[in-house]
This record gives sequence, C-alpha cells and structure tokens, in this order.
Amino acid sequence: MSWFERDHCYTKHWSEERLKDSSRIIPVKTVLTPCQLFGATSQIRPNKNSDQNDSDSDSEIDVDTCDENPNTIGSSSWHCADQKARMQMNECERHAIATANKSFALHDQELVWEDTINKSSWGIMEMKLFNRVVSILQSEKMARLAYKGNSDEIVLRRLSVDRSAARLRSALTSVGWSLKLTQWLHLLLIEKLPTTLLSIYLDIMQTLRSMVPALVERMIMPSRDTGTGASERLGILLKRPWDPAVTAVVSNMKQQMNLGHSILFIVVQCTVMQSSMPVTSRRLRFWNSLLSQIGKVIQTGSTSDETDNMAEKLKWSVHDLAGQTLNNIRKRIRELSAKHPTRKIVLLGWHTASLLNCHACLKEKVAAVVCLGFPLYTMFGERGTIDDVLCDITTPMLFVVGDRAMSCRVSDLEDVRETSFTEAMTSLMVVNGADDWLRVSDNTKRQCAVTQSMADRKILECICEFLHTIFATEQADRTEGGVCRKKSSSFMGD
Amino acid sequence: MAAPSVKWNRVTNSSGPIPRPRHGHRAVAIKELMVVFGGGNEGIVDELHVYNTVTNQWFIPAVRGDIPPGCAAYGFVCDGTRLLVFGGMIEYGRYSDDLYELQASRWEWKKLSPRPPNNGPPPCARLGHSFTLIGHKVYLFGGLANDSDDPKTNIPRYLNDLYTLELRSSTGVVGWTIPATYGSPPPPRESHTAVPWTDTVGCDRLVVYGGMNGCRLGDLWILDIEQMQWNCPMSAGQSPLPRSLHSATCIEDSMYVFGGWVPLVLDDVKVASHEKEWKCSDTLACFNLKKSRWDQLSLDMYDESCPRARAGHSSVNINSRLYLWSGRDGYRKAWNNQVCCKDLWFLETKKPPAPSRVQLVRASTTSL
Repeated sequence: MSWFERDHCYTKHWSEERLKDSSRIIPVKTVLTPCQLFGATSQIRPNKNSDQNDSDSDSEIDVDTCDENPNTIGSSSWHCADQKARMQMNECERHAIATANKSFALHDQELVWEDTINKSSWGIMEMKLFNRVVSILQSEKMARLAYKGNSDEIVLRRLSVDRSAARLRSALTSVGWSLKLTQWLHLLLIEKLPTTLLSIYLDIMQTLRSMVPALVERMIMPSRDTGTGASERLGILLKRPWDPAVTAVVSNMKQQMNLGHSILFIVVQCTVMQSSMPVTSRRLRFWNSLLSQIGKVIQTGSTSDETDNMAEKLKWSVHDLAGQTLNNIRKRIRELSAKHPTRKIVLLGWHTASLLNCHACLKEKVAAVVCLGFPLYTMFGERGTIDDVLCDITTPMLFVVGDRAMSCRVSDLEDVRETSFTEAMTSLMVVNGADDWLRVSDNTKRQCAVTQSMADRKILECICEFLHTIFATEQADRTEGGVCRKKSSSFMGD
Repeated sequence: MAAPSVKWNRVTNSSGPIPRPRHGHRAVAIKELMVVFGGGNEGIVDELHVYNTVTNQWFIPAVRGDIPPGCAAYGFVCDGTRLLVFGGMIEYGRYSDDLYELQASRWEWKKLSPRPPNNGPPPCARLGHSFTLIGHKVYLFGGLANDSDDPKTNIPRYLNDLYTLELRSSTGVVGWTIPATYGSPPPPRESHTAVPWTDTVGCDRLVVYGGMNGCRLGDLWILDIEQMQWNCPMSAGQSPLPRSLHSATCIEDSMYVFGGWVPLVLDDVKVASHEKEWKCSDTLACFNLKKSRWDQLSLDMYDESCPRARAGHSSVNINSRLYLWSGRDGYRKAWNNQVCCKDLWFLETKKPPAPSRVQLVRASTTSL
C-alpha cells in the first residue's frame, strides 16, 4: 500500500519518517555546556560538605578529579603545556621583581607608594587618568587574589587581563591617546609602581600591545630610549603576549583522529580586501595556523591573484562580489582537484562565506563543507525552504553555530537539517554563549574557564571529529559497493 | 477556433493570517470569498480559513456550533451561503461518514443526520470521493472505503456507488437516495473529480474525470442528470496523462484540469498496466465540454510564471478566474519529506474587459 501512504499522508507526523532515516543527521553536539561551569564552583562545595556528609555524597559531587587534569582542551599534550603557560604567565612578574626597587620592604612599598608621588603639578586630566588607571590595576590585583590557587588560574588570569586591557584602552582613549599624557603616565608608573602592581601593569600593557601595537609603541617609546638593559628587556617582553592555548599543540590530533589523508582546506573570505595582506584579522590568522596542523590551508576570496584592480572592486555591488567569490572558489577547487586528485578538499568559511561554500559544493565536488556560523535568516526569509537550492546539496556539511547568533537559531537550524538537507549528511555543533562569528561571550568564558583561543581549538577538534566520521562512512560505503545509495539517488532524480 | 489564451498570476502580499500549507484540503467559493477547510500535512487541520479575493486578505472566522473534527480528502459543497462537509479522513486509517453544515452568514456549524435511502444503506465512511452540487441535490460518487476494523491496517475498497443528497431550501437536508442509473457506470475510483456543467439547451451534467483505482485513470464520464444516463464520451484532441488528486474546475464550457499525480512516462519504455512510479504534474489541461475536445492552451510556460507541480491542491472558480492554493509539492525529489506549497495563484481565463471610460469631473475652482 505504498501508493496509499504517499497519496493520502495527511496525518503523518513529522517525526515518524524522519526518525527512520536519521543516519544522515549526526546529532547535535554542544560545547562549553553549563556542566563545565560546575567545575569551577565545585572546588568550594566538597570542602563545605565534607564535615557533615559522608563519602557517598562526596563521590557524587566528585567533579574535582576531572578538574585536576583539565580535559577542556582535549589534547593530551595539554597538561605539559600547562606548565609552560604558567611560566609565561609569570614572566612579567619575574621581570618586575628583577627590576624592583629594593630600598623598601615589599609590604611598606605596597602601602605608601602613592604617597611618594608628588601630585602638586598635576592638572585635572592627569589626576583623572591616574586615578582611573590605578583603580584598574587594583581591581586586577583583587581579581588575581580571588582565583589564586584555582586549577583554572591560568585561564582566569588571561580573561581578567583581557578585561583589564580593554578597560585601560578605554581609559587611554578617553584622553585621546595623547602622546604627552600617555608617555608621562607610562614613565610614572614604571618608576613608581610597587612590584605586584608593576607586574600587573606590564601584563596589561603586553595584552594591549597586541591589540593596538602602534599606539602602545608610541606610548612606551621614552622608557625604551633611556637605554638601560632592564627597559630593553621590557620592550621585548611586551612584544610577547602569552596565551594558555597557543602553547598547547594539536599535532597529535591528526593521528588521534586517524585523518590519514592529507586534507586541503580552502578557506573562503568574502570581504573586499583593502590591502594586499591576505589575512587581516588576528583570529583568522590563528585559525589558519590551527588548520594548518591538520591539513594544507589555501585561501581564496573575491581577489584572484592575477587581477588586482582595487578601484574597480570598490564599486562592486554585493551581488558582484558574491558572484566573483563563487567563481574564484570554483576555480580553486578545479585547480586543486586536478593537481591533487587523491587529496580531500574541504571548504571552510565564516558566516556569509559558508553560504557561498554551500553554493559552490552544488557545482563542484568537494569532500565536505564546514560552516563556521551560518546565516539562516536572510532578507528574503529563511534558508532551507522548498525553493532553496541548498536542499539539493549532497556534500556532508558541518555547521558550527553560536547559540547567541542573531542570524541563526539552533532549533530552526535543526528543523532545516531534518526537513531540507535531506540528501546530505549534516552535523551541528553548538557553541554556548557564542555569537554569529563564534566569539564566546565574556560571561561564558568566565563560567567555563576558557579563552577564545581555547574555544576555537575545541571547535577545531569537532571539525576533525566530523571529518573523521564522514571519511569513515565514505570508506564503508565504498567497500560495500555503495549500490543502494546510488540507486536511490537515481530514483529521486526527475 | 483559436487556442484559448490563459494566464497564471501569482498572488503575493496577501495580508492576514496565511493558513499553513497542506494537501487534501477542499475549497469552495462564496461570491468573491474562497473558503478553505481541512486537509493536512503532519496532522489533519481543523481550521477554517477564508480568503477575500477582492481585498487580497486571509481571515479566520470565529466559528461556533457543532464544530467538526478536521478532515482531509472529504466532500465540500457550497449552496448559497451554506456549506456542506461529508466524509474524509479524520485520523490515519479512520474515515468519516458524517455530514456537517456550516452557515457562512453566522459561521455556525451544525451536524446533520440525513434520512437513509429507502432502497439501501446510507453511504459508508470514505475518502477521496466527489461531492458535487447540481440544482438542489448533491451527487456523491466513488471514493475509497476501509474494510478493516482496525485503523492501523488498511484494507482498501474502491467505490463506484452514486448517492444523491436532497437539500432543504435554507437549512438542513431531506435525505439520501440511491438513484437508478442507466448505461454502464464508471469503474470504481477515488481522488477523481466531478464537476457540474449545464449544456447549451439547459441540461445538467456531471462530468467525472480521472482518479485512481490501483493505477491512475484518464477517462471521462458524463452523467446526464435528467435521464440519469452514464455516457463515456469520445474526446478529440490530445488528452493529458491519466491522473488523480488533481483539481478540475468548470468555467463556462471548459473544464480546467491542473496538476495531480501522473505516471512517470519514459519515452522509450511502454508503460505497463501497473505503473510503479508516479510524479506530480504541473500541466494545465482544458477540456471543451461543448465540443468534447481537449483544447490546446496558449500559456506562458517559463519557470516562475506558472505554479509548480503539485497534487492534493484545490481550486475554485470566482468570476472568470480560477484560484488555486497550496497542495503537496511535487518538485521536491525526496519522497520521505513531504513538503507543501504555500503559494496562491489565479488563472485568468478571459481577457479582462477594457476599462470603461473614466469620467473626469472638472474641478470647479469657483466653488472653493
């Protein structure tokens, strides 16, 4: 009675048929879940409970054990990297101690340093700026004391330094980064700050330098010109911001995930590049370096290498830009697949670029598409409705979206995955507290004790896992002949 | 005679609550209103929606009385301002034999219990039947019954019985009758269409087309209402592919047939009697009842200018236009996911008359 079911299927509930054919839908995976959040708080809880409650309640809330070796980063080499990161973290402190003024006892110095400064000649601007910066340093100090000894100290330190750097930046912006004021402030602080605050100040400056290098360089110029060995070291120190995750390596990820084939990542950008510099954003550079650990990274975008007519490009409409980018992607895929017929090509793009990738994979053959952020809502309605060409995609797709993304709600994407992308294997990874560009919110970072680069690394791990899964199923299909799949697709073809 | 020129137009920007896309619903016209009820997709719908073709607006009337359960592939007729609903699927494997009346002036439902016929049982529960009003009688023909008591299992039985339901003038019904017919009746079928047609001398006919009885049917049957005589007319012209779950609408002397499931015809292979594969059609065919001929239509056939292939949709005739809404999308290749169209179209069957001269009132500045 198949014809009857098909002709008169008014009552069929949506889940019935779909549940039968769920093999193509890899269940949603969430990272930075709130359960990781308890890792931070559980430190206090068992101590409190230990007097009244017995071991059985202790074993229940025994979240400590996984805290001991933080597996949030996943990679096994993380643990030794931990030591290295700790070294780097305290580098500024060591420097500060080395250059410390030994004439005071440490404790006295903390208390009286501000009184030794002669403020009589200061104007209102100087006063304001100084007070603001000192309060930033003080609150950073408080924050450090608060999480001292915590197993996630490195991460929490990184986060609070980032926050303080943002505050310092806004303080300096409020005086317009005036050369006179900033240089005065820097010299004053370097000279007068007690050891702990100095190390904090250096930490913050180090971070700020990575954000706005030119402005910070200008600000610290006079202190470097003094020519003492210590200040020279300071200059070098400021150039090296530390990151708890950058020091960890994922080189073993490739073996671990069994990605034997060499993968070619085509990273698509869909912006008009203002300069000849291929990647402008620090984060995208970081991502490229991450990806290069598991495959070769090739970039493409609206700019093709031969024609670089900037003036004309600036006149382009969005439509032209999209068309040109799509052409470039397709050209690149064809080139690469001709050159390396055995290697797998994976398209990867951020947000709008992921849509272009989806269009590209309709025309050209690639192994997989990775969408980092996916704009589900468009000016003309939601993607994945009946008329959408994306419904015909057969390439495996991984969506990585933030649950705070404005352009994509997770539940809607789940529906689209079930109802519309019926021909493709799809996987969804949700990053809690992340926005359209997978930037994790400050709150989530603190709660889960992760930095952005750690979250990015986690995403990379999921990408590896996804690629591993699809390559494995592909392998299985090939060995079993893949006959049924072929047959069904020809049946579906009109 | 030149080929009739018709034109599809898509209705956009309609305001009001647009009903959920579905198939197996039915629609009737009251003056310029199109009333849509029932049907389903992922569950049978029990909402009543009304579309005003003049204001391009959907609205949901507040109904009261014995509100019927939602049903799909049922019978729906309009007599003046009252609507009658009979049969259909109310849940999977369960069909109805209830008759409901809706007074559109008050939006009040009423369940009717018509008198059974003198010479036989009342019509059994069914779906996919035709329910056509001619004069003051409704003609019920064919459909599909389930012989199994357990709704989970389906023992289908195609019907070709004919019942008439006589209506009282303003409200209520007299009862069912089983009329005696002459000539050989059409074979059993379901999901066919039956449209009323009055010929040039004023004789009423019931025109039955297409349907399904294991394979799709493309035959035409005409019942002479006065003589109660079944005829199978010879048709000239190129007849369309056999189909079911299509829509047929009679406008003047033409029956417009759109969409439905048709057998998948491969050019090199002769179609066997039991087709295994079907697809939805987007063809519009026109049967000239006066000349008993399938007319060629001159129609713009580029992509966006006509509705996409579908089945289980419904169409109504309002003035010289044919309005078409929703239905199951036949374009999507994956059978597993049924998707319904959410578009509304109308077919212009006549060139609109030239606008009358606009009388301009001369502005009199003196009166200001």
